[in-house]
Amino acid sequence: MDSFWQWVAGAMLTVVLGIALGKHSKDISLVLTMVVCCMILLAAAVYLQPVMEFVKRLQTMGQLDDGYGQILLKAVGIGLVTEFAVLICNDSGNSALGKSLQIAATVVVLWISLPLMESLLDLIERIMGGI
Amino acid sequence: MEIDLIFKIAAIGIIVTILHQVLARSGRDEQAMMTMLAGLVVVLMMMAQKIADLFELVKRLFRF
Amino acid sequence: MKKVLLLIFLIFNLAQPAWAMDYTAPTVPDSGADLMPAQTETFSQGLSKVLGKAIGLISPSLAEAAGVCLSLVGIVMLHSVLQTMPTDVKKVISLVSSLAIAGILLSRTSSMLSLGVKTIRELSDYGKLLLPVLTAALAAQGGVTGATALYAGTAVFDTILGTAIAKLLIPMVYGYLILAIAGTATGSERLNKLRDLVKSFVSWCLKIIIYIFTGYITITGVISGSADATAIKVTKITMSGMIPVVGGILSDASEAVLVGAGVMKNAVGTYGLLAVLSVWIAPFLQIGAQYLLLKLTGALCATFGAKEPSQLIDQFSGAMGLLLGMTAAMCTLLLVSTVCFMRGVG
Repeated sequence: MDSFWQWVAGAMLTVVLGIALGKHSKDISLVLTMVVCCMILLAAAVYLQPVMEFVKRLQTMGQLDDGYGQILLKAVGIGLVTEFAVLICNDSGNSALGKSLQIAATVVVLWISLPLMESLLDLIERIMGGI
Repeated sequence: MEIDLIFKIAAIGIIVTILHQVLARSGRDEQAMMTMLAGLVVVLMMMAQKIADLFELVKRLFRF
Repeated sequence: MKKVLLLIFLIFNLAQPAWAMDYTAPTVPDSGADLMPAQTETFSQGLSKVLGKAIGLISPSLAEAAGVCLSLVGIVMLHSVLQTMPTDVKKVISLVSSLAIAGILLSRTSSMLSLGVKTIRELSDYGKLLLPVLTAALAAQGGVTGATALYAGTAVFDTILGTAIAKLLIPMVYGYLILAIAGTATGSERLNKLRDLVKSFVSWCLKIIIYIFTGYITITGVISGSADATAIKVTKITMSGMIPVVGGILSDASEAVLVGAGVMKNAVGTYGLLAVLSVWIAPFLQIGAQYLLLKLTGALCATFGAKEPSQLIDQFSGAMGLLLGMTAAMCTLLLVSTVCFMRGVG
C-alpha cells in the first residue's frame, strides 16, 4: 500500500520534470512520460494479480466451460494495453495514431470473441429446432 | 517503482540539452544533433526494457 | 291412496343412486414417487412429509445454481474493470461480456424450461387419470350434476392450459430471452420494448386462464353442489316421513352410505392432492432456487456498477419467474378442482 503514495509522488515528479525538459527536448520528455506510465501500470498489474486469481477461482467453482472466461480475460488485457498506447499517442498530439489503434483493438476483440458468438448462435439454433 | 530511473532519464535529458546548447552555440551543429540523437537512443533503450516488462506481465496475467 | 302415490312419485324423482364402490386414486407417476408419504392420515400431515423430502432433494441442484451465479459474478467483476477504457473498446468488451453471460445462462435456462414443460405434462396426464375417479366418487355421493360440470370444466381448462403453455407460452419465453440478449448486446430501445411486451403478454395469458377457470369452478361448483344437497335432504326427509316404521332406519342407512362414499372420496382426494403436490414440488423448488439466486446475482452485480450485465441477469431471472408461474398455474388448476370435488355436495 505504501507503493501507492510512491506512484503518486513519482507521477507528480514526472510532470514537473517533463515540463522542464519539454522546453528543450520534447522527445526525451515524451519518453520520460512513457517510462513512468509503464512503471505505474506494471506496479498496478502486480496488484491486479490476486484479483485475477479470485476471478479464476470463481470460474472454476462454477464448473463451467472456461472458454468464455478466457475470451473475456483476453479482451480486458487488450483493452488495458490499448488504453495505455492511445493515451500516449494523444498526449504527444498524434491523435490519428491513437484512433487507428482504437479501431484495431476493437476489431481484434471482436475477432477473439468469435468462438463465443458462434457457440451462442449454435445454442440458439438448437433451441429453435427443439421448439 | 524505481524513482532513480526517473531521475536518470531526467538527468540524461538535462545533460543532452546542455551539451546540445553548448555545441550549437559553438557552431558544431551536426555534433549537437548527434548528441541529441545519442541521448534519445539511450533513453529509448531504457524505455524499451520497461515496456517489454509491462507487456510480458500483461500476457502472463491475462493468459494470452 | 293419494299419499302412497305421492310417496312413490317422490321416491322415483328424488332418489339418487348412492352406492359405496371401491375407489382408488391412480398411482402417482415416477417423478413424484420418491416424495409420496407411505401412509396418509390427514392432508396436512402428508403435506409436511412431502415438503420435508422435497427440500432434502434440491440441495445438489442448489449447489449447481450457486456455482453458475458465482461465475457470473466473476464475469461482471471483469466487466467492471473496463469502466475506465476508451469508449470504442469499452463498447465491444461490454458486448463480449454480455454474450458470455448469455452463453452461460441460456443453456441452464433451457434445461430449466424443459424441466418445467415435463412437469406440466406429467401434471396434466395425472390429472386426466385422477379426475374421472373423483368424478365417479362425487357422482356416487349424489352430486351428479356438480360432478359432471366440474369434470367438464377442469378437463377443458386442463387441455387449454397445457396446450397454451407447451405450444405458445414456452416459445414466447424463448423469444423473450433472445430479445433480451439481442437488446443488451446492441443497446437498441426497440428490442427492449418488444421484449417487455412479450413478457407482459405471457403473464397476462396465464392470469386470464386461471381467473376464468376459478370463476367457472366457483359458479358451477356452488350451484350444482347446493342443488344436489337439497335433493338429498329432501329424499331423506321424505323417506323418514312417508314410509312408516322403517322410514327412519332407511334414511339413516342412506346417510351412512353417503357418508361412507364421502370418506372414500376424501381419501382418494387426499391421495390425489398429495400426488399432484409431490410431482410438482421438487421441480418448482429447483426452478425457484435458480430464480432467487439469479435475482440475488443481478442485484449484486448492480452494485459493481455494471448496468447492462446485471439487467441481462435480471431478465433471465424474469424468465424463470414466468416458468414458475406456469407450473404453479397447472398445479393450482388440479388442486382447486380436487378440493372442489372433496368439498363435494356442500
